[in-house]
Amino acid sequence: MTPQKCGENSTQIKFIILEKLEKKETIQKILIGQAKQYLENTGSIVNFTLRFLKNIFSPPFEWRELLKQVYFSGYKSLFFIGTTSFIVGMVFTMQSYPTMSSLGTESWIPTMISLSIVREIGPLITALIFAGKVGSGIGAELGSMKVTEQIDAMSVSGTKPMNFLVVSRVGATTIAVPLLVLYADALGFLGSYFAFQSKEEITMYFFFNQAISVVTYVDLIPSLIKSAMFGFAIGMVASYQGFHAEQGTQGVGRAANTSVVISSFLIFVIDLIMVQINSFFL
Amino acid sequence: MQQTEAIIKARNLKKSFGENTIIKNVSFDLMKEENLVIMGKSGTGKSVLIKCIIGLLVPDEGELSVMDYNLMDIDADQLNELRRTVGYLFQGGALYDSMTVERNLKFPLRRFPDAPSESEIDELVDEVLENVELAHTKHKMPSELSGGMKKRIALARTLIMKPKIMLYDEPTTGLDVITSNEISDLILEMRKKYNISSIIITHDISCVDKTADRIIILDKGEVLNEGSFDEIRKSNDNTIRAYFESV
Ligand SMILES: Nc1ncnc2c1ncn2[C@@H]1O[C@H](COP(=O)(O)OP(=O)(O)OP(=O)(O)O)[C@@H](O)[C@H]1O
Ligand SMILES: [Mg+2]
Repeated sequence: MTPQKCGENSTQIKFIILEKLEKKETIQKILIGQAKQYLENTGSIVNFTLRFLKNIFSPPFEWRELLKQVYFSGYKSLFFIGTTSFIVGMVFTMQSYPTMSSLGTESWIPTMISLSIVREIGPLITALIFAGKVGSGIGAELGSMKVTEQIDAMSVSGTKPMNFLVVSRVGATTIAVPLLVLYADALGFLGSYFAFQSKEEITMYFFFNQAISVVTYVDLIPSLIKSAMFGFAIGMVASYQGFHAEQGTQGVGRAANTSVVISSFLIFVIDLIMVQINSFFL
Repeated sequence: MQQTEAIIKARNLKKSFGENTIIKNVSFDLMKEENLVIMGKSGTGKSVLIKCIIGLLVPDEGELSVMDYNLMDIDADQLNELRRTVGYLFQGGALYDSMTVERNLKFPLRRFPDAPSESEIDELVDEVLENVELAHTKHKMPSELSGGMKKRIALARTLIMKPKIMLYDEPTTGLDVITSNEISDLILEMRKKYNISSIIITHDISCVDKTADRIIILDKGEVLNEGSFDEIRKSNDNTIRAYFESV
C-alpha cells in the first residue's frame, strides 16, 4: 500500500468512527448490541439442542457413522493436543520452579502440577484445540453440505439428517474430548517431568508415581464430566452453525469461524459453572 | 390424457422471504401420470414452488395437497412418509460428496422402515446405474465425475426409490444435446415403466417438446399461461414467444 492510500484509508476509518459517534453509537451501545446478538444466537442454539435431544433416542441410530466420527475427530487433533500439552506442562514447571525452590518446596512440584493439569489445564487446552481443529471442521463440512443442498437432499429422501449428521457428530465429540483429555494429561505430565529432571535428580518412575498418587477420583471424574460437556458444546455449536450456514462460500467460512468463536467462549462459561458446582459438592 | 384425477393440487399459493414476495398467486393441478412442464425466467420462483411440494418450504397462504397429504398442515412423520414416494432431482444434483456413487444410491434405501435386503439393494443399484448408463462409476466419488454424470447419478438416486411423483429441477441444463435427449427419453420411459407423474422445470425446448403433456409459464410469481406445447407456442405474448425463438 502506498503511503497516500494508507492515509486515505485512515481518514476513511476516522470518518466511519465519526459517523458512528454521530449516530450515538457509543461503546456501550455497541457492546449491548453484540451481547444481544450473542444471546439471540445462544437461544437458537438451545432450541436446536432440544430438537437434537428429541432425535437422539429415535431410531435409526447410526453406529457406524458415530464410530467413524470418533475415530476421525480424535485422530485429527492428536498431534496438536499432544504437543501443546507437553509444552504447557514443561513451561508451567519451569515457571514455578524458581519460586518453589526459593521457598524450599520444589519437591511439591510434581503433585502441584499434576493437580492443575488434571483439574484445569488438560481439559481446557484439549477443548480449545479441539474446537479450533474439529469444531471448525464440522462447521465447514455441514455448512458446505447445507449450501449445496445435500442436507435438504437427505430430508427429502425421507431420512433424518439430524440423526445421521448431528447425533453422530455430537456423540463423537462428546466421547472424543474426555479420551483426548486423558492423553493430554499424560503428555502434560511428561513435559513437566522433562523440565523438572533438568533441575533435579529424579527418575521418571518416581515423578509419575508422585504425580499420579495425588490424583483421586474426586479430581478425575469431575474433570472428565466437564470434558464431555466441552465436547458436547463444541459438537452442538458447530453442527448448529453448519445447519444454518447462509448461501455461498462465505456462508461456509462464517459457519466454521463462528463455530470456533462461540464454542471457545462456551468452554469458559461451562468451566466457570462446573467449578462452582464442584466446590458446592466438596 | 385420459386420467382426470389430480395427484397434486395447488390453489392460490403465496410465498415470501421477508419483504420479498416470490410466489404471488399460483394455482395448478398435476394429473395422474402427467408430465407437467414449468417454464419461467430465472428467479421467478420455480425452484421455490417445487420445494413447497416436497415440504422443504412452507407456503405462507393458499392450499396445497399432494396425494392425500395436506402440505399446509402436516407433521414430521407424515411428511417423511410422503417424501418416500416423491423423488426430487435437485437443480445442483446435491450428491453426498463424502460417499461413493454406490453409497449415494444406497443411502435412502437402507434407511427405509421396510428396507429391502442388502442383495436386493445391490440389484437395484445396478439396475438404475444401467438405466443412466453409468455402471462403471459405481465406486467413484462424486468429485471424480463430470457435471453431466453427477446429474445422471442424482437422477438415478431418486429413481431408485421408485417414486410415484417426480420433481425434476432442470434435469437437462448444462448437458450436451445427446445426453439431454437421453435424459428426456429416460423421463418418458420411467413414466411408462412405473406410472410416474412428473413436474419438470426446464428451459430446454427440445426437452419440453419431448416430455410435456402440458406447460405452465410462470412470470413474476404468477401463472402467465397454460396449455399444450403447440398452444403455448402459438401464443402472441412476447415473453412467451421469447422461449421458443430459438426453435
Ligand atoms: N431460502 C430462501 N431464502 C430467501 N430467498 C430465497 C430462498 N430461496 C429462494 N429465494 C429467492 O427466491 C427467488 C426465486 O428463486 P428460485 O430458486 O425459485 O428461482 P428459479 O425460478 O428456480 O430460478 P432458476 O431458473 O435460476 O433456477 C430468488 O430471488 C431467490 O433469491
Ligand atoms: Mg431453480
